[in-house]
Amino acid sequence: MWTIIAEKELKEHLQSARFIVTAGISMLLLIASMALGIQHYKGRVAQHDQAIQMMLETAAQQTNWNMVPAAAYRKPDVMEVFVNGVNSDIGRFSEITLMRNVRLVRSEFSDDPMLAVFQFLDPTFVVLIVLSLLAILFTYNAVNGEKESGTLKLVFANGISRAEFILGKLAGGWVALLVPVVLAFLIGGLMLILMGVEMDAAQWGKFGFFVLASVLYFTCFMLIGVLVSAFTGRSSVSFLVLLVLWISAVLIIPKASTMLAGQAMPVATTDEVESRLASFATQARTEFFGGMQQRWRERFRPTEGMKPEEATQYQAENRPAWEKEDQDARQEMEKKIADHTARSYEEYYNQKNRQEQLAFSLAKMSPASMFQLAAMKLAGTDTGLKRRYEDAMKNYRDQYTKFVQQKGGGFGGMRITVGRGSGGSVSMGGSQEGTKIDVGEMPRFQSPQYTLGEALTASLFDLGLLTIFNILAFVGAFIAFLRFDMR
Amino acid sequence: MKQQPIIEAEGLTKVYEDGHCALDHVSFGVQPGEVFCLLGGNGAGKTTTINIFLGFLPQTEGTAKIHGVDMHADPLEAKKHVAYLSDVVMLYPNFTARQNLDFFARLGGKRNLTKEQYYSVLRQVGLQEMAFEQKLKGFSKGMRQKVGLAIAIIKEAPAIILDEPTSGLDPKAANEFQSMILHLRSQGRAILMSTHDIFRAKEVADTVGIMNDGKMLTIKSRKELEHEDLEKLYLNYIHGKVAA
Ligand SMILES: Nc1ncnc2c1ncn2[C@@H]1O[C@H](COP(=O)(O)OP(=O)(O)O)[C@@H](O)[C@H]1O
Ligand SMILES: [Mg+2]
Repeated sequence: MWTIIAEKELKEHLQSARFIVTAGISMLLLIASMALGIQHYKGRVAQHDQAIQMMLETAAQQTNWNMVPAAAYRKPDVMEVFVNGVNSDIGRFSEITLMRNVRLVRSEFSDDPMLAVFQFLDPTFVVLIVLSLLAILFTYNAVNGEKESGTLKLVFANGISRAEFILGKLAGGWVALLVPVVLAFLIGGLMLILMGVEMDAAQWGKFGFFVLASVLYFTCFMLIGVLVSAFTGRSSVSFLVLLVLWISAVLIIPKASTMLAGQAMPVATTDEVESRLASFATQARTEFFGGMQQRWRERFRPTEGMKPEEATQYQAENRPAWEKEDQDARQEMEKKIADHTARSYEEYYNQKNRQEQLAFSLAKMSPASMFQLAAMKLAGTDTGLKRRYEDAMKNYRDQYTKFVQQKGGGFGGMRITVGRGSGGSVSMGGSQEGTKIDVGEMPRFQSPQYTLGEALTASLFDLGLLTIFNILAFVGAFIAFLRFDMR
Repeated sequence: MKQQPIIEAEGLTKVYEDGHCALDHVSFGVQPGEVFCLLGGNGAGKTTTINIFLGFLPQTEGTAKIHGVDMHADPLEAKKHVAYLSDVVMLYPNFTARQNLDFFARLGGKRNLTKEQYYSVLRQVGLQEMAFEQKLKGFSKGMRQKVGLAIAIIKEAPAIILDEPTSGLDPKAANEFQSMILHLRSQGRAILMSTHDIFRAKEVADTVGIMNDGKMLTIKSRKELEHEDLEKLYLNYIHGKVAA
């Protein structure tokens, strides 16, 4: 019996001009967003390759590794096509120098503010907004609409149970919505292949799970739609209720939770952290120079009664020891600053993490947030992206520093005295002045790995929540209909 | 002698959750080949009675049987023997007349009917040929009513229950509808229909049950009515007087 209902439901949707038009538009939007994403991704790849090429070309002109404008570039990932996530907010590269911490700069948004306005046009956005709306639009009157048109009574004048009816309705309606979505994603996959985008098995896997997450997400809204339509007698009421629910789930809860978390757990901005770091460094240096002046005054005191030759002699004898002392003091000061910087950042990230966790926990009342978080974690464009790249870049900086020092180059001019190893020499010279360096020797930055396994582990919780939400909504819709007054 | 009625109410009582008594020990029976009209004004309890007979509503007391099966005890079995036409017949606007018919026929247990069989039923209820494969969206109330009746007919159930089938129809459509009812009667179906239209009831009914305020005031056969003025009778009854 339930298959008759399912078939009718599917056919009814497919024969409705309203459905064809809306589902068609959603499909087109989904396909367009993927096409745009692929274009954008290819542009990013070209830009990335060009930047590295230019860096290498500049480097090849140098005779000294010190002069190489080393930088690590963030490699575009195909998954950005589907889930842009924080991708455009994060800088595209970091200079690799000993003077400064690794810091990703020049995000797409900072370079092109117009992009920030249109950031949302990725498939994730289309699924998030458009598919959920579509799901609601075609379920808000699933049950009470049949009551209004008198068909509910006509159906139940036959030997069919309520369970069979609601099961058939859900199944048929679900397939009707599933078809355009899956079709759009299939076309998206085809476009990736046809447009020559290389994807490895892990990326196809992530894509598959992204589609799954999308399906789970709109199914959720579909079930909520049926639930509400079986909970209210009139379709005009259920439409309003669903609109309010949709606005809360998609627009308000995610934003409000971020704001609430910000209120509950204030965290300093990076600018504040940096200005505090700068003033700490200034103070440390002032202390250092103060100490040095003091020491020199002390050192010269014994010479006060001496004859000039004696004084010179005394100074010459003690100078190496004094310089060593100053050197140590300087190193200690630099270490203090470096340690403090590292600690401050660590603390900052921890606080930020905790705030984020709170915001996410609050947001998870909404399936929209569950989907968004799951999608970003699947694609690797979640908030962890920055951390992963910065960690990889820090490692690269260490590696690169060692390499340059091996090559006999100081690194970063004067400040090299801070570095490990090379004593205090402020040597600017490469081994052989005038010979161009061999860029082939330069260690290359390797992008951090983000395997399918890691992606799944990271998103498992949110996908699980989404699944549980689905089950609850399904049970809710089922029970609501069993109790539905069909008169 | 009386046969076993196909549609049978015995002491049917309904008290709504709000305490309102919409039906008060109503009893009647409809034989095969009999048209039974529930006649009463708005709020008399006609729809409540019908809702109980289709299992949409549990009764407080009494029994409602279709073809000898208690609707409350075994609704899925009882419903196999009844066809229904509701007071609201919007049907599925995106389906054609034939598709609407097809869906409900299959629900009613009639699988594998041919297109010709559907057409023949649609023809029987007087729907224009050209409308068979048109979506119901553009149909008039009269046309939809015809499709609704086709749905009731195609199930070939021994009992047919119709709630206010002629309200909202123009006189021509109502007349066509009436002749269809009489045709079904001639096939031996037991037909229960509600109406607030005295003249319609008088023309079509074999038996008229006058209801008011949840009570079955009187049940009159066509024969008995031949000698009485139904309108007067009706007014007298609902004003609490017994006709002389
Ligand atoms: N769900 C309900 N709750 C309470 N009272 C109801 C409900 N449905 C109908 N009634 C009342 O029961 C009475 C009979 O209603 P109904 O059977 O629809 O009358 P009819 O179909 O003869 O016009 C009316 O007074 C109506 O107000
Ligand atoms: Mg009524």
